[in-house]
Amino acid sequence: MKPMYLRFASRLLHTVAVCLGLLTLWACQQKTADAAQGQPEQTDGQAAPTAHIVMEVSRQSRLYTTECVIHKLVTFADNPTLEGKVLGVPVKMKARWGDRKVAIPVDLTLKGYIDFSTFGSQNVLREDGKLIVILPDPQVVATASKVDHQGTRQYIDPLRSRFTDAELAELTRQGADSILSHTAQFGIAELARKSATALLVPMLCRMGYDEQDIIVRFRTGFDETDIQPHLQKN
Amino acid sequence: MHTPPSPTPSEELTGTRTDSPKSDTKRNSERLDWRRLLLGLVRYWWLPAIAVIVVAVAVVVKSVESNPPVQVAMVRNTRIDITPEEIRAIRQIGQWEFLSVSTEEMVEWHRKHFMGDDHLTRIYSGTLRLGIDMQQASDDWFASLPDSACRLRLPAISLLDTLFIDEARTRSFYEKGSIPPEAREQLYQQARQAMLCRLLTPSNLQAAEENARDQLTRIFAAMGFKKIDITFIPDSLHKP
Repeated sequence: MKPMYLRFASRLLHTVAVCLGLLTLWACQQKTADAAQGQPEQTDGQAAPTAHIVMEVSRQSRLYTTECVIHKLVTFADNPTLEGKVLGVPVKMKARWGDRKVAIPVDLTLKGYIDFSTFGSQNVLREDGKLIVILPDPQVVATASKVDHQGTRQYIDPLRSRFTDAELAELTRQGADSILSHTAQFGIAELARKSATALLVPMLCRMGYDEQDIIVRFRTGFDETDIQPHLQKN
Repeated sequence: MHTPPSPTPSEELTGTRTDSPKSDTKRNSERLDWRRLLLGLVRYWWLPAIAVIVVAVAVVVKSVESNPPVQVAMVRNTRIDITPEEIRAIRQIGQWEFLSVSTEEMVEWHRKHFMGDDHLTRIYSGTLRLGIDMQQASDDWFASLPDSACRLRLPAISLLDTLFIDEARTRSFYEKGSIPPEAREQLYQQARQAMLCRLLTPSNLQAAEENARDQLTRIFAAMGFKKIDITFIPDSLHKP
């Protein structure tokens, strides 16, 4: 005859097995119900465009003169802590066991440009045989950003969950915003001004002016901090 | 003859002056009332005790509410770490943008396997910029002619950026299961191709060309030219 503890263990195992079976059946039913709720038939591993919206069509007159690709390794460690006081004693302790970290390489393309939409005869002066062209302030726009998905690394301990796609998207957005907030440090505006001069002077020379008679001016007092990087509208 | 003193009016009223048995009884009864009251207080001692306890509890609750002994909260950092930014490439370009189209594209990825299905739906946003790449223009693209006239021979309108999706603004709409990195790259390419097919149309190219004529005419008129001849050379069409 089996001892008492063995009989108890065997009954416990049977109960657990029955519960697992019931759970599996329930999960399968849920999955079938989800699939029956009008999800389109799709091929495995295939991406299919399902909806699109044209948001904005706008006429521009911008001369892009400088392109700059900025790389940033966005890192994030998710270690929530319990902080506070217990009976007046400060307490700070980790709320989860194990680490949960991610590193996302992001490339952001910035372009410096001169907006010619307000350019007119008031921007062109002729004095003593010299041609003076006054250009608007250079601006910077983020034209594209790209995530290196193959280079993205997640370090997840067994007791922690993986980063969701929404979390990764949010962290990437923060990385792009961080780059944009430091745009003034990259010197793109100064490069945009030099490039604009280098582009315009040969063209003006073809009009019949000597190079020494051409003056390209920008607003005085302008510096890198005046740049307002324009985010692509969502 | 000795006459007894007449009582004063006050003695007449209260009668305390007399030591009669009636007054003793009254005094005893008053003493008994006090004793009874004291005994009653002793017998119902729990009433004031309860009152004291209620007041004490109220004071303690009030003090705990204003300054709880355990003040612990979950603190979660949602900001990325501070890391350096590196300039990977910088170059001089000459691109005139005359039309920009901002759009969104929703794409889905799906995979079936033994343990269940994986599904990911993302919404990409991007801006297609149409214009002229002056690096593709010939050396004689501009010619000044007599009588305040000029001639511009420009490359045809094309897409200025092959990378135009702002992936950092991507929104994750639905996720289920395990998503491999290849899926996200596949979704990106799929969204890019869909945007190109939908927006790089002859009508948009035509609109960009018309705007290019208007803008360049205005700019060169400001330079002093009265007659501006603009020609777009289709041979230099830039394929994305």
